[in-house]
Amino acid sequence: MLSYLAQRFWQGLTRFLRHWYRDGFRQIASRTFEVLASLDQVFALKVNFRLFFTPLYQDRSIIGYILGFFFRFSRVLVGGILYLIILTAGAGVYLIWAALPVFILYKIIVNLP
Amino acid sequence: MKKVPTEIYYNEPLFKLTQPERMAAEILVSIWSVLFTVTAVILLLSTWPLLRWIGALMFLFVLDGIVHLWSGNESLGNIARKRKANLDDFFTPAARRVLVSAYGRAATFGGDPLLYVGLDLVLNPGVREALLRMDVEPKEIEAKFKEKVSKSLTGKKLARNEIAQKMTELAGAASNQALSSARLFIEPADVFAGLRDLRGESTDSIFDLFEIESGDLERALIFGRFRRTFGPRRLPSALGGFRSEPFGIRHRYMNRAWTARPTPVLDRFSVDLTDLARAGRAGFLINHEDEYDRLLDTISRPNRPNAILVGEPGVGKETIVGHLASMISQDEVPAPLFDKRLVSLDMSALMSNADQAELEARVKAVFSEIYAAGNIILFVPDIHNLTKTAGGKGLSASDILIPYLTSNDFPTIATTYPKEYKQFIEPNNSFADAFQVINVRELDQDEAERVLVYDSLLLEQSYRIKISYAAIKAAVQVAHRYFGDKKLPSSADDLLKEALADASHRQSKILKAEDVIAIAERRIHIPIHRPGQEEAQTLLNLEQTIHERLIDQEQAVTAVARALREYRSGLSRKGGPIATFLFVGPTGVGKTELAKILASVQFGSEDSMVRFDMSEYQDKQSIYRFIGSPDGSVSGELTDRIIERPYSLVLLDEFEKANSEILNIFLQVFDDGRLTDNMGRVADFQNTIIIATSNAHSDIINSSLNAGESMEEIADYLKRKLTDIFRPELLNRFSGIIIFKSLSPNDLKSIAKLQVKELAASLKESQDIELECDDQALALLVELGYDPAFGARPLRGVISDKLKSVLAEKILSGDIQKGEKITIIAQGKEFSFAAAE
Repeated sequence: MLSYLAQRFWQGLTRFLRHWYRDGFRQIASRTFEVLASLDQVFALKVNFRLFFTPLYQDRSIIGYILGFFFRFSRVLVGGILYLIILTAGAGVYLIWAALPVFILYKIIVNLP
Repeated sequence: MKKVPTEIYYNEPLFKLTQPERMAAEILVSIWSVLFTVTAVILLLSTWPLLRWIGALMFLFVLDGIVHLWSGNESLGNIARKRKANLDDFFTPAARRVLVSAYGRAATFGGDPLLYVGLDLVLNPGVREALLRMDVEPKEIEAKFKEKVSKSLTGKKLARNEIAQKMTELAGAASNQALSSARLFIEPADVFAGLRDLRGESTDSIFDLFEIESGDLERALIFGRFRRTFGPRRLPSALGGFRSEPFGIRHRYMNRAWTARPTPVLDRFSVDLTDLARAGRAGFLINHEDEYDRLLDTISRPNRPNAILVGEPGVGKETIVGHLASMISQDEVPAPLFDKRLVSLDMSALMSNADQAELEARVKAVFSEIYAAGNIILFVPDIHNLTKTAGGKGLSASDILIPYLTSNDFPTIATTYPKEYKQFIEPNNSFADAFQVINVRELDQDEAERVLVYDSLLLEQSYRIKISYAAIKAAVQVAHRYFGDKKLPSSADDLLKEALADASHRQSKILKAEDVIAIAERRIHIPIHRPGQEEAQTLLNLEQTIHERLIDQEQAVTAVARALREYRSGLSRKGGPIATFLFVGPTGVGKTELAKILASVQFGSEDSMVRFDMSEYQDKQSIYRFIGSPDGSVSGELTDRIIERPYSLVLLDEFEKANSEILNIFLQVFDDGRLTDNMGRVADFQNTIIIATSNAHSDIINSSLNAGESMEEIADYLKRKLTDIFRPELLNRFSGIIIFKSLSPNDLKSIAKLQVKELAASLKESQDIELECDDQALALLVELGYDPAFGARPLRGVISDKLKSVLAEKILSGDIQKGEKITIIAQGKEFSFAAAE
């Protein structure tokens, strides 16, 4: 029975670490990419980057190329910044998440008499 | 590098403990959990920083425990990544508790652990809902489990390793269930379904008693599971196909790359399926994954990116296209299809109110826009309608459209039916070559049930009526058997919806199997429902009922009654008529009369009988009167009638007189129960009784009877003689060849009594006059009406001449008044009518 209890205790500990770090990472990453995917419906960063020099509406006149460039450039720029913010925020959330138990442990150690 | 398959085993540590140890361990764990939580809260609220931080750390553990309270240690999604996996880690705590409890009770008290598992699980909410859906009362099945548990306690107590072995098998079966349903963890419902999958165990008899099959249970469990996993908001508004609402849908013609062009003309003559999908108006795909994958591959390729989905109506071609639209809107498609619009061309809108020039202009404009936009996938439903108008004077729609559709410049998806494909598309080489054929098969019954279970979740929301699983099963079975003109799952779906509309009208709260069957019976006029007590009694006493109107001919009456009893109890031969009889005997002995009585007693009325006098079909051309002429100028009397009323009695009088070519068509009818008419429609004879009558060689019957031979001897001899008239292969296909014997004077007397009784009933109803006939009068009727050559036929003539016409005169002249009581008396060779005092 003692070995069973010890096993349960150990399982509880490993389960917490697994949930907190592995599953937590997956959840936060998944949500971050969901937000990015819904933003991509508007900004289409990858597509606009790939077609950076392709004119809008297939207007292959000089004006079309110039307008296309400026339009795509601004979309890529704005979208890129926004994506970076979202990714940074996601990473930040995860870092905070991951650091929280470590931080608490640190505080415990620091406050030890 | 080849991945090593995961080694799966089941090891529950609690099984290694004795019962007291198990109990102590569980109590200690519970106490520890409570103490830990309380301590964490207390420490968290402490003012001392050290304690507060310790409390915070403990609280993280508590939070994690609360969030994962109902989850297993590991998710089933990770199982493939592990080298070794203990199934115990994937059970939810609730499911684990059931197995541990069952193990403990079996180890302590004896009995079958699987029965303990079943007993615990029947009251689990998910299992309970599934059972109720299957019309199984949880309390009844619980009682059965209790009963079996009690019985198993008297048997030999299993050793612990034997119990553990059973639990291991059960864990394996439960994990298979959970994996096949793409679940995260193994839940109690999966354990219950796994219990059913274990064959040869004590639980089998209980599941068999309540008619719970594995597949049915697995599908019924979807009800509880789906509603818990997805809230009602996340269900799509239609399953398969679209619910198209023109208002409130935002139209997006521009792709995200902004390389497309507006398509105002195309938008007028089309429906944007990706818009509908984005608005949640498209459903998800259940089955047809292979066909979908092939479609995706075809329209993604650079050369010949055109696909034609070929399948019968209702198999799910539109569902596949709808699913594609949904996937495109979510970017879950290969790169070549990314950011495209799936647009359904509305041919009727394109062609309406347009002369030749206008049509050409429209088509040119539409396709110019499609080329210019560069982001269109075109969908043309029922493309065979185009090709039907091909050729002829001037250019038709198809002549204008087909060159564009076969240009390979943009992906095109078309749909058609198999017959139309063979007839209209395959002969057109350029058309056929341009499209990759993808055959969409009809779903089998299990797959159709699964689709309908998901559909029911949506229908329950719309109609606010609970749908039992038995109703779904009945809809699929009945649709598959009787509505072959439309395929599964659509035919079953239509039937279910019709039943729901009817239930809604009746303000019923639950849709049961009987409701679905009643709707089907109304449509096809065939009794499908299981015979109720009243009908069962009628069937059991059918001979008696028939003999109230038919005298003698026991063999024939018994044969037809038996055939009907077999049919209504579901035991008749499948793939052929209910029964086929050849009645052979002299004229006027009751062959046709039996058919009429049967039609009225069992088939509802004499109108259910379709009668053909085969002496009118003596030439070869008259076959067209049965099945219709090739040019359609003559319709098929037989096939039309059976298509209209599949549950009928077919009487073929004087069968031997028909042309031999006509007799040949009955070879197929008797064998397969099917006959195709001039329009390609199939008349299904599987719910008919066919009676052919013949006087052939009937003279042998009387002479043999007079010579003292028995009916069996006469029957054997007569059957051999009949091969002079009918082909042996036709005679062999009859369920029975019944010999009708001549009527004796006693039989005539009984028939006379019956016919006078009929006359009396008619007189009572019309004139309120009571009529009786004394014995001498009856004897006189028999004497005047009996002719061995003509059977009982002359008797009707005598009654008409001597009784009916005289009575009619007396009533009209006032000699007989209303309400009087009259007795027919014989006076010499005449009849007189005496009023009773």
